[in-house]
Amino acid sequence: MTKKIFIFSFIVFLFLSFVYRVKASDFDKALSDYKASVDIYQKADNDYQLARSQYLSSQTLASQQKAQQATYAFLKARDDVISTYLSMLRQKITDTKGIGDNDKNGFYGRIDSDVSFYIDHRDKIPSAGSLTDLFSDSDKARDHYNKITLPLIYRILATLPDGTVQVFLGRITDIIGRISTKTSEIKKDKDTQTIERWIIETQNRVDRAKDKESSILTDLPKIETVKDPFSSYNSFLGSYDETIQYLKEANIYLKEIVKNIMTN
Amino acid sequence: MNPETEKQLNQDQINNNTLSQSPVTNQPQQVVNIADPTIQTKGVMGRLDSKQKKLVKLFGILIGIILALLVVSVIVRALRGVKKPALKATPTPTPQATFAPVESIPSKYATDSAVLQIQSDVNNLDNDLNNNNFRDSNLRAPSVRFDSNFAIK
Repeated sequence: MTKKIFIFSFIVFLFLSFVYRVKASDFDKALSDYKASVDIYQKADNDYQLARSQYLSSQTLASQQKAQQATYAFLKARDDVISTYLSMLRQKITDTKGIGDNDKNGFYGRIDSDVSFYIDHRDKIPSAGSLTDLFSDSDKARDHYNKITLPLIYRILATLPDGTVQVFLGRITDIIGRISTKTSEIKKDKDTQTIERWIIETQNRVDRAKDKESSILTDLPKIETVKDPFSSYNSFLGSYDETIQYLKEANIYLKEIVKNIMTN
Repeated sequence: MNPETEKQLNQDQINNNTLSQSPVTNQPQQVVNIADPTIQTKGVMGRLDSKQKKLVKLFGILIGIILALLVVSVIVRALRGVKKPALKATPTPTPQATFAPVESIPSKYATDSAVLQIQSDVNNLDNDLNNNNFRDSNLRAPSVRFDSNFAIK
């Protein structure tokens, strides 16, 4: 009987560890796919640059043929880079805690639609098309990237830290709640005025962090309409850093409170 | 040998003998000892005019002063070395606040499981907050070019 229990436990352990490993490696796999596509793109880009300069200097039919082939490979590789990047971002959203389901689903829908666009675009690039046709296809991808993809990417990148901040806010609020409950209990034994005052100070810091986070959320949609979403994204990161700073200060206060509780 | 040549030879011999013999007996002759410096200096100074003599004296006085200064500096250095060692530039020590260790007596809640759990959670949160990084380089937007439209002639 003991032997059976042991074997069963071992099988369950193996199954759980396998499931856990598969789950943990989803993002890593997506990241690995993206990096592989970047390598292919960089090689295609180099080939394209070389073929372009050869064609522009010699203007022969052979060099034109080579330029067409290189441009075709370059455009396909570029579509792959963007679609694998978006898939990796999708996986990152899944792994990030603290982002609401509505936001997640909204991002999933937009990402899936965008990935479909690039896959479709890649498949429709004519392998035997003229350079003019290829450039026309390239312009379609460029317009889509600048109007749809880039704003979406920076919106997601600026939203991901909010998930982390939400998780930290949840944890610190939970700790403050438990300390408040314990303080009510301690009140019977010792003077807790200092602890209560410190809890208020801590809560003030948390409130400031919440206010900062709230103003970030209000401003977030603007990132999709600004001319330079990259600098806007950096500005958001600075605001998130300030939020984290308030939480760090609040947590230092919590350490002091715990120390006070544990000593006479 | 003819008598003329013989006479000449005798005369030469007489002259040689006169030279080789000590002259003291014949007449007193002044011997100049050229190794004597005073005599030499005297000789050199004697040949200088008054203007040049003054210049030489002045030169001598200058050398004397320089030598005297050198001797004085050597003595002063030696005395300093003996009296006190050379001062070294040392930074002013930064005052460091020393706190007397505050003796904390553990309360009865020091072993309370709920309090210990809170302490553990606070420490974990502190660790997570300090190790948090919003700037993941893997997530950076892809660097792709769209300037593929080159001129076709």
